[in-house]
Amino acid sequence: MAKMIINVEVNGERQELLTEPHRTLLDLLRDNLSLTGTKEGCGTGDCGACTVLIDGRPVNSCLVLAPEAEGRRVTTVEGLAEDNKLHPVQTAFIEEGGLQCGICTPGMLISAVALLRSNTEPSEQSIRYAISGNLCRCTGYDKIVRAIEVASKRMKANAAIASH
Amino acid sequence: MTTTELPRTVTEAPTDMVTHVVIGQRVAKIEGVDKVTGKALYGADTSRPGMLWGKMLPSPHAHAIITSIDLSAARALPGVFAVITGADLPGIVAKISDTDPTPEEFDTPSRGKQILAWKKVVFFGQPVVAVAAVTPAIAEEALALIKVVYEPLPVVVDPEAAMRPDAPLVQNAVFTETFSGKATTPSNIAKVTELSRGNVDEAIANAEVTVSGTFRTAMVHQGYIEPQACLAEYSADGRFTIWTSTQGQFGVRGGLSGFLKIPPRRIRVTASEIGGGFGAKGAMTLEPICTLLAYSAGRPVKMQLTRSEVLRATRPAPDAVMHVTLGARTDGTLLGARAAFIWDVGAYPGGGSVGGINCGFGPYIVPAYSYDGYDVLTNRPSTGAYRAPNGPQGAFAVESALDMLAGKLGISPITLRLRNAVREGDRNPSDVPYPRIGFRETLEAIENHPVWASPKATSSRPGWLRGRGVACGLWGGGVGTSMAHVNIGEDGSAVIVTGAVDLAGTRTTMAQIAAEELQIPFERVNIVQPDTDTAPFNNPTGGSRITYSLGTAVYRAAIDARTKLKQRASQQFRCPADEVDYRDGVFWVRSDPYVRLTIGQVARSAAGSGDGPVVGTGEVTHLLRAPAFATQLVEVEVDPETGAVQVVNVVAAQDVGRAINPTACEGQIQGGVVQGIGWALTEGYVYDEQGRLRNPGLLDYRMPTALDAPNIECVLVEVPAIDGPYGVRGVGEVPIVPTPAAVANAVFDACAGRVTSLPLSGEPVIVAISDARTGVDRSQMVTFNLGPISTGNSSAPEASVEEPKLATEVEDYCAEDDVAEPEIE
Repeated sequence: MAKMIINVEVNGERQELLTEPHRTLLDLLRDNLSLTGTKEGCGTGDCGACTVLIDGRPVNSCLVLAPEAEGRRVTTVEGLAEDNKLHPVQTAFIEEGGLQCGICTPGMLISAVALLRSNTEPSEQSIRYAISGNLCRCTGYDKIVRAIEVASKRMKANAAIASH
Repeated sequence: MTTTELPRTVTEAPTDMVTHVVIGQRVAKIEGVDKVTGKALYGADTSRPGMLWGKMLPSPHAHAIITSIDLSAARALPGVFAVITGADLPGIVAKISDTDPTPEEFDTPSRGKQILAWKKVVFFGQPVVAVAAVTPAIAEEALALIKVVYEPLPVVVDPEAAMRPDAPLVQNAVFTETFSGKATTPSNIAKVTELSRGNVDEAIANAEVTVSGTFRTAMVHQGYIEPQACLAEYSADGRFTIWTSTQGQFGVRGGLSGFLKIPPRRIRVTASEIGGGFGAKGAMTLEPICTLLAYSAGRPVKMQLTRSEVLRATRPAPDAVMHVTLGARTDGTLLGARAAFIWDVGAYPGGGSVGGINCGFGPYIVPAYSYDGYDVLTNRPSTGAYRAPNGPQGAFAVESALDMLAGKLGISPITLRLRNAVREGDRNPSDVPYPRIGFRETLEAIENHPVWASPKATSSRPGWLRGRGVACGLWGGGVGTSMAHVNIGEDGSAVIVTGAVDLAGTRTTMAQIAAEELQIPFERVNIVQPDTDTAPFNNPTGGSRITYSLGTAVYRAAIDARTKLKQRASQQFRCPADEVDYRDGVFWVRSDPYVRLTIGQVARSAAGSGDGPVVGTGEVTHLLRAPAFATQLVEVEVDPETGAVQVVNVVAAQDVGRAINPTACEGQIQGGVVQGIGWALTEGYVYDEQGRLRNPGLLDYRMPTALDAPNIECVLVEVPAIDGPYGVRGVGEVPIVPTPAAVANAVFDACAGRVTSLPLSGEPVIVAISDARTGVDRSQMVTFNLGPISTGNSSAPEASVEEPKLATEVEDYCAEDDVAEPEIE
């Protein structure tokens, strides 16, 4: 199959990638860019392990064909930390025990970050709703929910400090 | 004598202190940063230059003779480097090992040997052909070009039907195994287990009250989010290098060594970070075929299962049909129990009945019993370990029956269980005495919990009913060989080296143990798990054995390192070692406590003087098993119109022995409970009459989401085990055991309908409610009658054992076994 060039911004960097059009954004990230932090758990959009942000919105990258990513801004788990400093959601997941085996963690973090961008004070129910497309088989979700709660409180406190 | 830089203050220094400063702390996961930044490398995350992609052709039939296979088009496709069928296995192994294996060695009813089906397929989705090609797309294209002609055979997917003499025979060479020997004619009943004590007929006849029930559970999957993935490479020096997602890299090395007939030194295995296993990755899946593809293609080969392959053709947990009769006195004291547990172990022998019996009945004193177990073959994938293997099924039957008994007697389900609960010295169904255990303590923890003590709430949802149920569970504990090294760095820090796989947090607990025994801050301990050439030997991770067994090895290694450091300090102090004391990172001479050296100073000096740098070693083979018990209280809400069930609250009490890291313990418990909720409510394989799996995807094989999971409060009960460090017990297995039964008991409490089959959400609940309203008691209607069954006198016709025809126009890479003249049937 003829290959095509995809222009896409990934984690703040412009990329020009050569791929077959039947490949997915997930393939592009993992195989072309070696960004293996984004995981494939099912390939059918049911588990959420491959969740990335496209223009700020959480999307299952296994369901996005590579050409659809043309001109978009993509954020993966590798793009959450800035200047060697973890995102507050990442820190909270570690501190609150919000991860065990860690395979769902990248997608879970992306969904959590997307939620906290649009809702700075989410209720427990809205947190559970926001991550309901991300399957976790280890934690029973409880500590993930707590971690996102803790992160939202810290981010709010940080924002309050920053605004003073 | 070396002087110290420390300020001269007098220190009280009891060296036999028992106050733990790191044990019991909620320290953060040591590999957490790698996992939240995407740096951790899982099974599919490693690549090699020149790497090919491997794929397998699944059987579209559950039971069929393979008449012919035409590989010519696939082999001719550009970009295809290897195509392997079951017929090729002996030839490739012969080349690799320089031995002469017979085809019969690979044509035995063993899932581990028949990595590709040959002559006939025995379950839907069974791999038949494997290919390696330059891209996944070309590999898939090659699969599509392979023409296999099948002759379908009668299918059996129901274990009770499979036991009958006229049932289709799943395997031609499986003979019923019993305690007294093996049958001589083939049967679908692979194994019969009989455990008994006393006169059970008399005990039940004399009982003042009896209950009976037949309980069914569905085949369920472990549901790890990471599909199996493996990368294999062959080098011209005769060595294989394997990267794989496994629970045991030494298990893979040993398994491949046996399969390939080569010594372990020719195999190097690196266990990747593992994205969930729950028992399923304790056995090999892709490793043998990936290795053969890499050898045949002469290039590294990566394989990753798709989710539908994971569900269709790995090793799920067996479904079960379990009949239980209990006899008791009116005060609830159990007098006798009779049970027959039928396990659908799938198309190959394995699994096993004893675990389910011991988990189910093990928590209770039963003076007279007769427990029979049947491992039955069907045309489903062979089954394997899933978290406390067979425990949840057994507990579902026994704990449901106990709930029925409590209801009949009008006593509290906790009182009933306390009356019959085993204590230290009592024996389990296999006649093994319990060491110190904390079962009663978990029951008392629930009995005294505010949720149990408070009146039942009503549902906030109009029309929904709320109920509360209790159930218990047991896991006997895992043991096995573990080794660890503790390397002391020249700054007095420590790195633990182990070859054991960390499934979900044991690296952190190991570092806590080492920090505790070295009396250094947790932050100064690191842990690595290098490959089989580098790391000390460890049995696979499973059975909740790592914190217990590897923990013992690390504990011993840390103490060994501390002892050696003390000796090094004595060389630097120029005094006998027994005059050196140590506490919290500081050595001093007992007769002159002002003369001191820090652990960093000792380590730094030792790096270039005296007896040299320090490595502590610790090893352990078999400890005494440390059984773990759990009692769970589950609250549900039931919609009587639709049968929908929502678990709204769980209190889980568990004897953890000693919580090294309470956060990690709670995480294990909460995870196990939610898997149990999935098992109870929504998860289950659905097969059609042709034995095809109808729900091989995560949309229809429905695992709990965050919206399905309740709040789960954990009560950590600490009754120390008599072996292992700090009294610790394995934590991971047991929390799944009581949950399905507790959910069913809560549903009964809510709607008065006794559901006896899982998954129960929906129709089973509506039927149970309707039965309760109309006075139908199905448990009394069921007369459990096994016979006639077949244990080696099958009248079923044997399937053909003809060699399939193979067609290929491309010269085979493995000439000597490239298919003899096609046989004309």
